[in-house]
Amino acid sequence: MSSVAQRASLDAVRPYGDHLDDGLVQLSFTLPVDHGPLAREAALALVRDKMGLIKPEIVHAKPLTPGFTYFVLFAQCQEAVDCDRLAAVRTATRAMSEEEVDAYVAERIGRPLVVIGASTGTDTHSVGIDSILNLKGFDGRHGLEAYHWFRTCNLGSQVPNTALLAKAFELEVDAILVSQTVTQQGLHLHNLTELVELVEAEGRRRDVLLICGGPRISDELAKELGFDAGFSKGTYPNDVAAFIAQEVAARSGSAPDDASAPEL
Amino acid sequence: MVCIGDAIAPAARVALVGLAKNTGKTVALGAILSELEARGEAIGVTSIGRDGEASDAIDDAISKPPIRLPAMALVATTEPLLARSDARAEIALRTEHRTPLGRVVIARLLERGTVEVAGPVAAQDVAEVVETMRRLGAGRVLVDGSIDRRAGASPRLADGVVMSTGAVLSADLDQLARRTRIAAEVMTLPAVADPELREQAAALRTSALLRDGGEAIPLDPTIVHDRVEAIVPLLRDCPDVRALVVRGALTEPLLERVGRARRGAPLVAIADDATRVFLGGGTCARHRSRGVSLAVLTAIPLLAVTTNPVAPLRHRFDPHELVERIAAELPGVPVLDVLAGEPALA
Repeated sequence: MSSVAQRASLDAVRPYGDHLDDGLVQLSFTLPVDHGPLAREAALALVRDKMGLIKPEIVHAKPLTPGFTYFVLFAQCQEAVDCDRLAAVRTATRAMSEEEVDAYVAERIGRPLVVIGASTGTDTHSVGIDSILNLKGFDGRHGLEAYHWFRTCNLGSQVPNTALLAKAFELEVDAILVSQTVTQQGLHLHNLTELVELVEAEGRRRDVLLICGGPRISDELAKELGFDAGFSKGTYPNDVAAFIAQEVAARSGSAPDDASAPEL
Repeated sequence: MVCIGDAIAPAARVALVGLAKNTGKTVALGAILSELEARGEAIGVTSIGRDGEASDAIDDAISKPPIRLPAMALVATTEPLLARSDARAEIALRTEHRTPLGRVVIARLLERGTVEVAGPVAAQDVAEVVETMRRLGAGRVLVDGSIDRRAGASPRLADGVVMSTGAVLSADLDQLARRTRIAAEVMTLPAVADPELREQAAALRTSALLRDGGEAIPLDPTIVHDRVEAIVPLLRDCPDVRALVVRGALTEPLLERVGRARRGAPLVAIADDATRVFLGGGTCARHRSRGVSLAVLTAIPLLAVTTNPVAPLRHRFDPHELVERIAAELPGVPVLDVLAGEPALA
């Protein structure tokens, strides 16, 4: 039997249920079938024969309305992922609290960092950008507005890219934060790429950090779009602040870094 | 018959640009790579985004083709991505360029294989990587674009551009053809014809209006970006303005105000190059009809257009019909479907 203490590498990671490597997963779904033996058999067959999980077990089955049944199942996943072969994401950024970020900026940069943010284009969702920038923040963590060593400007929602840039250049910002709700077909991507293209056209891409955020945004997508970072669900204001602070410091050469290789 | 290898032959640095996501840019890159490999050319590949990943960063139901490079090819990528390559490679150079997926390295493949391409984020840094690859022996460098980004086609980076269009733009063939033509029109904006005007425009350090005698009226940057309506009284006061020169992004709202202020009097709007021109929903033809013609200091040769008849998970066109239709819209430009092997004569 393996134990947490024995765990040595991340090359074969499986779901953890009761003990390491048991592969236990919990699923919940609704089938459009009347509650009864047929619905139960359908749920088990779906999980076992189509989803590729073994030993499915129904722990909860409840009729919703006539013709629909809700299930909760346990099953075992035999597959594993090799974390060593996944792209390292933002490994360079060290997690920091609000106080640590402020102390870091004071020591390494010595001037307040200026950040502007908006939901661009036709996007009316401002809850994401508000929770990162505004004083109140969320989940008990202050937004960047509350930081001693940050100056912020939140333009709100439905902001044209050109207006955002005009203000960003006027304030000589260190970072531009854009919140965007990207849809399945990528219909809102154009807004994000246009911002990058406008900054490039102005010849200012090296002067400013471009950061995007939203429920479907990842670092992979950020790279594809031409941004410096992409933040998704589970991001707190201090995560964004830590990234900006460390990145500005690294780019101005005032942070210790992993660079020992020849320069370009 | 024209093949894509012939079409790009005049350009040592080739940019690939797509009109949207899933227009077949990676497939076009693959076709170019296999032709260059057959010709035994020393190749370098970098990107303005990221390419060669197994699944789409937005919709992972869309699987993507891998990028297969010949032995000895140079590629810009990051160390974590290089670790996932199936080919042996050595790192020729570590750069200082930081990306969300790690620091950019230039690697040399020691055997044929697939690798994810991930160059620097900023175009200026991509230009440095291109030059470094040339110094390391790449006779031809390909700059892979990303989504609908055009920055890689800047003359600072590339000597010519291959544009990819595809069914994903519209389920209506007429719309698809129209949008492709409009995009090609912007990409191939002509260089300023009058040598005197060109010289005056190139000498300006900031955006400005140029009067007939050559006198420049400098424009506040905020007018160019945001307070575009402020250009109207300026133009009304000086009817002898012959050109608007923008150092930076030349956008549709500004051109719209210029057209309105001039009431049909001819004026040339000049940008550094086509990657600085943002027409949004507008067209060159519409501005021309109002007296405003667009021109650039440095033109970008459009080497070829590739077509993708398939919109993933949605609709598709007949490949031959699509090639014919796009070729009819773009006289003089080679149009190819690199998968169907369907070239239209230029």
